[in-house]
Amino acid sequence: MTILELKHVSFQYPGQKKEALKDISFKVSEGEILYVCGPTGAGKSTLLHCLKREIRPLGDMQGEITFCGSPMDSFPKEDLVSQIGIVFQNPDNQTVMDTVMSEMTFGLENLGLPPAEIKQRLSEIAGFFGIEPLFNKSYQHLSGGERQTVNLCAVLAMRPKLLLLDEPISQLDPVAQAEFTGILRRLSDEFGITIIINEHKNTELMTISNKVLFLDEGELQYFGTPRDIAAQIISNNDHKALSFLPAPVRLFAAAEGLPISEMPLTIKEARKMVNNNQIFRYHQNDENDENDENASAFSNPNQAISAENLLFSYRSSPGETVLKHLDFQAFQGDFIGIVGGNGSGKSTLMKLFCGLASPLDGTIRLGYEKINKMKRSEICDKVFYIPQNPLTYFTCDTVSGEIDLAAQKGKAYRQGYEELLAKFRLSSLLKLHPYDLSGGERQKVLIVCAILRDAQILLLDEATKGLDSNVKKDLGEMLGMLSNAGKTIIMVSHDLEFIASYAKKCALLFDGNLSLLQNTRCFFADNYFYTTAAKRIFRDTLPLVLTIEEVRSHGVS
Amino acid sequence: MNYFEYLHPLTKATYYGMLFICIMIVASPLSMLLSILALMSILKRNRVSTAMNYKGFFAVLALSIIGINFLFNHRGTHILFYLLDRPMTLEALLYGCTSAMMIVSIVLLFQNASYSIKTREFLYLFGGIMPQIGLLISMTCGFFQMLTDRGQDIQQALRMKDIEIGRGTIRERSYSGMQIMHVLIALTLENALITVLSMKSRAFDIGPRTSGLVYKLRARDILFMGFSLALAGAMMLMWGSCIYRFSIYPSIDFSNNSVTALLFYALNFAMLGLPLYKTGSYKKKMLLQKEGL
Repeated sequence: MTILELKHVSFQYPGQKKEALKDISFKVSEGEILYVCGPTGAGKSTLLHCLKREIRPLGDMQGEITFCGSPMDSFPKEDLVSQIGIVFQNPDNQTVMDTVMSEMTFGLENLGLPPAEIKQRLSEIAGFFGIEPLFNKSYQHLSGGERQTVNLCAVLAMRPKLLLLDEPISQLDPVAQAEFTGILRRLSDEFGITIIINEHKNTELMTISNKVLFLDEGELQYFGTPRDIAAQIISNNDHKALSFLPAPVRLFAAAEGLPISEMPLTIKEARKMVNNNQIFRYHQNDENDENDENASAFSNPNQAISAENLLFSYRSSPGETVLKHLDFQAFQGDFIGIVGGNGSGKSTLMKLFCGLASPLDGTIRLGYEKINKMKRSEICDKVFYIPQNPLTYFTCDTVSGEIDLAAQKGKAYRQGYEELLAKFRLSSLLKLHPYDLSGGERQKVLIVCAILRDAQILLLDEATKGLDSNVKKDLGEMLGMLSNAGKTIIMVSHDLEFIASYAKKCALLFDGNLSLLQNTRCFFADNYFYTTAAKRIFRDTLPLVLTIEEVRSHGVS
Repeated sequence: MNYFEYLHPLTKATYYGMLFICIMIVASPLSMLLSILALMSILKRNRVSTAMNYKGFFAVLALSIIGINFLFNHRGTHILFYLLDRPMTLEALLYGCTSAMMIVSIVLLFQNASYSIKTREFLYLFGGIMPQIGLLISMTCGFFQMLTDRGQDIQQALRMKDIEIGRGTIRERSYSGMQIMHVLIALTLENALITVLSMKSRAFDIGPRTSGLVYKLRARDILFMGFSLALAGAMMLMWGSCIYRFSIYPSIDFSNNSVTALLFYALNFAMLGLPLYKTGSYKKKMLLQKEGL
């Protein structure tokens, strides 16, 4: 049974010349998972918001949307509001109440349900999703994954037939992402709830979805089953769309003679093919790799930052030590990726490195100078910290204001910086408000501010969160360029693919301490679980391979 | 959580209401001292450290009240000494101590009550009378915490721009404070747009709301409420009808019958100890259950 059908739907925001959605037509059957993907600004969120009548954006909409066989606009508002539910990207911004219980009951109380029914629905949801222990907790005491699960449950309690998810896992760590994806699979398999999900993370979602819709610049480019989509993109040789497909598809897209119907979608399928020697082998020039990695632009690099014997615990929980006698050293031109589980102290380490937090014991040196002996202005001149949410940093109303401010405080670019802005493709954004930029553009503006302030050390906290693969590539190349120019970059992230692709050295933060800082290839060489998709596929055949792009660049034999 | 936390919100509200009236009416130093000790031990059992964080403030407040009353109030018959030809009396000192202890008791009482009666229980009690205001209170509670957390993040980020509220001249600090507020307001308004969408998508304002909170008034709640009312009633009856009354002015009256005094303080002790007694009994039961006995 078709639950949702769009017929020639177009949407245009007021005052905009371009249409945000252009002539979109597709059908979704009951119980299906539709995965909507595409680059940033393709109109994915607009599409989802148009499907939820209560929050449809202001603008001119053409075409027809049919829900359960009837035009969507013909439904009474109290029926439709509970039948279509939506969960948004940031778990914190969509929360209305202070406790989990109040948040869960919010929608049901708004529907005017009697207390007995509300209790019945809550007990059912709590039992099924195992969130009963959270019920009496305050919302602020939940982790990011728990918050998003509570948000999902609050919507599910209203018993929707269609669930819209607008980048629900982009702000979560990999473990929480996997748990959330597992819940979606259960909802579809066991309850027949139709799910439309818009997300950048593709590998897991592509495997659980029945249909995929690829949007670009408001137009529906591809629509069909994941395998059909992969086939269409590969046969069209569409490189832009290819980067949104799962790692195994990207890897085998260049394989000659491989029938598209046999294209592997999952790591398991890809491993089977590689191990059975069903398809080609890839060259690997190990010698060149070693040479590349050992080559350093700086023969005697200076120490950029060091930490000795760091001990740290939060004031709120003095008994729990977050960092235990941690030692660290980074040199000029290093690009270090620090990975680790949720709550392992990665962000805390970044804050210690820029003097935003003080250790209980131990010494941090910027260059060779102790950080606690330095003035704040001196620290700001040497080190630049990009927080998880870049919006907390912007104080000016325009990008140019923000950049001018950084240039005034720095010494390097007082005369002019137009060339620098052009190099990072920011010249056209100068008059915009920083809040109107995309996630990747915000990160880029902050990196330019760091260059203008002439900071030698750049600290990035989860900089790739919520960015699509093309923007990540842009950001990675920008950071690589800075590192080669002598800046020291330290980045904490859950994004193993990004770290493996761009960082020169890596370390794992676990139990309050850092593992041995090694070059990226050595770091990932021995990892079994905590590693990249390419490494998982070629674990037995090409043990030194780290990224899909690396395998593809080596060519086929 | 302890036994007292599981009682009906009305029972807990009645208990704290009665205790508040008792503290306000019974101006006896011993009663006030008992109140402070009992309320502090309840807070300690519940691991609420808010009161302890303000102990310096409490000490300054109490000493100011005692000092001011002792220096400027000269009523009373038990003269301790003369200062600048003015009599310094034992009554003034004792009255100051009693007043100071009363204020500390009231603050502790409210801290206990705010710990025991959760926001949703408060909403259950008063939501029927003012449903929209009840919803607003609950939303504000969540919003306040979110603003505090976000404010801290912004302060940290802006320190990297050399914008710091705790450093520099008053002018510089004011400027930094305004910058932080500017970012906080802008960011909050930006995020509030999503909050509004979330509310609208969950049927906010489409019709009359109901309350999903159900609390059943059980026998133990009625019994506990009865005890609270009986003990408080007996105390107020004894105090009001002068069966027992400790008067400070015009002269400290030690002439009370020791049996009635003993009975009065026994009632007072029982009233204050109600949540403590049940906590102890409940914990013991839980422990026995855990050990399989």
